[in-house]
Amino acid sequence: MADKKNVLSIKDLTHTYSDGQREVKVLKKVNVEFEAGKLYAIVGESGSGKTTLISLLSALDEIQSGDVLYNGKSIKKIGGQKFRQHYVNIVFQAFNLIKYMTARENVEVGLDFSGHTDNEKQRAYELLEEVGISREQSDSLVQHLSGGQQQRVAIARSMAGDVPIIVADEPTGNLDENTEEKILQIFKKLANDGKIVIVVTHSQKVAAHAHAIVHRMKNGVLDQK
Amino acid sequence: MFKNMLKRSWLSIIRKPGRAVLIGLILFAMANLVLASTAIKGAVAESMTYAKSTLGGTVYLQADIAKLREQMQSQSQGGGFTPGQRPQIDRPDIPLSMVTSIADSEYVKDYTYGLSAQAKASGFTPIESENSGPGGGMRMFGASNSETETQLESDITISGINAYAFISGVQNDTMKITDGKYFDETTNDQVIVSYDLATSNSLKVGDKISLQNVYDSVAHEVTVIGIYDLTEEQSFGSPENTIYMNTTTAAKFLSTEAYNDGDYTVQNVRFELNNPEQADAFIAAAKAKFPDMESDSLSLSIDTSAYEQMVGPIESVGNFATTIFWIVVVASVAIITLIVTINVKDRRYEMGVLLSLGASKLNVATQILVELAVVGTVAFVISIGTGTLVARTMSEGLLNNQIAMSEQQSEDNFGRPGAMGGGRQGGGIGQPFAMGGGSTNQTNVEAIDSIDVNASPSDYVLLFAIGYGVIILALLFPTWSIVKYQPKTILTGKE
Repeated sequence: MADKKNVLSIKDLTHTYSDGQREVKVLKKVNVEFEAGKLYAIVGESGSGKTTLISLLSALDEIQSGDVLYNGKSIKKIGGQKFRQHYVNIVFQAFNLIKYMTARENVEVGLDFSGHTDNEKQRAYELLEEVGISREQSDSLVQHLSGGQQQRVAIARSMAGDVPIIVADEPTGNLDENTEEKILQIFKKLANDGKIVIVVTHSQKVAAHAHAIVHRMKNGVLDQK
Repeated sequence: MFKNMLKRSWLSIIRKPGRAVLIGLILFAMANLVLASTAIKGAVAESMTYAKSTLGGTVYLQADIAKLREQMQSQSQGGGFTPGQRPQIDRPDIPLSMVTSIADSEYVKDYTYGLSAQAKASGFTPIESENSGPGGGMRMFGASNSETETQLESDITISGINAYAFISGVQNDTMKITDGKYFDETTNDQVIVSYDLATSNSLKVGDKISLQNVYDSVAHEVTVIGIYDLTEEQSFGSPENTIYMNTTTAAKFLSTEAYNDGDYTVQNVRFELNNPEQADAFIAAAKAKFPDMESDSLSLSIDTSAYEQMVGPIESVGNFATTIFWIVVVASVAIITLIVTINVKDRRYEMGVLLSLGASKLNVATQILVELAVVGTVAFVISIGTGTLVARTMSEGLLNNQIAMSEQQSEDNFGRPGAMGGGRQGGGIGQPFAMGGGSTNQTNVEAIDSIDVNASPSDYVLLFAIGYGVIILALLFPTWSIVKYQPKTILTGKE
């Protein structure tokens, strides 16, 4: 499914939050394209609209205005659930692993939902090995792993579906510098493998370190740096 | 994908056993009580069916006393009496032909009626008692329909009934045959006499005695085929001088006018039905045959006292089991909904993660359902082993309690223990036949004091159906309250 020609396009994306009394426009007609095989960084301060943008482009939230297209096809037509199942995977800052499962079992959940159910136990071990998780760690409950290890497990899970788009929301926010470096290397490798990798971060340093194409988000508007 | 969902459910159960054990215990308790309730209800229904088949229903054909009183009162108020005249109730006659016609019905299992007359002993000596008249005899008036009241000497009470078994004393165990045999409809001119009368006259089974019709003085020879004894002393009449026989024989001691060419007046008419539930249909059919019955101040009334007396305690137990059943179901839905709500809230993050990975809302809800169903199935299966035990313990406790309450109520009502066995008093006003151990409407049945509680396969099917129904009901609201949101909303905890 990963192909250099794959393009994720955002067209006039506008999003407003309301707390009942006032409305806050967090995205203002955002237009941008992400190509396969490249690593993108969206940087910006807290509240600039970064998380809202990736929530919409990964179908975690409903689009109010504008559109997100994958190879020209609207994700509204593809369907949110199907898009999340076959096109995009998200790595969260808080890892969002299922705590009562082992690292391997968490990865198997990703394999299961994407339909890769053949020999999934072995495949899960391989994916975890790719991100630097040993066999012993793979069979540990995730709550017994360190933050860096948990984030690697989350990345392995996002790789499980072999989806063309990987989105990471502050993936190194809770990690030390050494671990951060290793995680960024994994994302670089995923991009080199032909995936669209979008990393959201508030840190310019992370963006620079990843040699990513940087987009700056400010007050709901996205500019290419 | 389903296999993996089962795997996830299983992991959730075994890795978080506390929650599963809590829900399992509640479902186990619910299952036991549901199974116990349904098993008790089934056993009660069976016992009630048995009681119906044993007792049938009883319908009495008798004078409508309320109507007769009204007539008497209206006569009294209308100045219908001359000074010094005593008011009297004119009891309507029940001709034998009417009884046999009504009894000719598909609803009737059996029927009984009685006939009373007086006779004079001939060749043997009646027992003299305080209740007897001067000289050991009784004075009676002439034929009931006669205008002229001629005093006739009699010393023997003739009690005719169409079967020995219908004598009330036999039915309530206060009278039994000590020697010989009993009579029936076919044993004409054969009688049973009291032990006292037989002893004082050295009468034995097989002896012949002579009884004289007090109207035409014709003596009729009858054979003693049995000797009865009364187990309870009777304070009225002269029971030891009562001779029982079938109605054909008893009719020989009526006056010619009362005999009425064989269509004589009978009393204490009772129809035993095949099924108490057919009583209304039977009464309607009888009234259709005799449309003037009501205007003649006759009524057909249902007596379900024996049935009610027999099934009263178990019926209460059955009602109690039904109440328990619904309380348990409603309480289980409420408690499990609460636990599942807490559980789902606790796991909303996991649900958000699954949704973000591409799981459908149905898939997520089904996983929670499967978890509960697995726990529930274990609880239900264990309850199959324990439910019957709980049902037996519960039914025994409830039944003993109900019986004790009934007995207490009976004592409170009648001031003596065991009064609940009395049933309906028969006879009616001024009906001498009901006295002295004659046939009455009184019944004596024991209340059912035990039920055989066993859970049937249909109870188990019902248990599983209700159990899974409760789980689904308890799951619907809390699960939908989460999965209706977008994954981002759930993951950020803003739902």
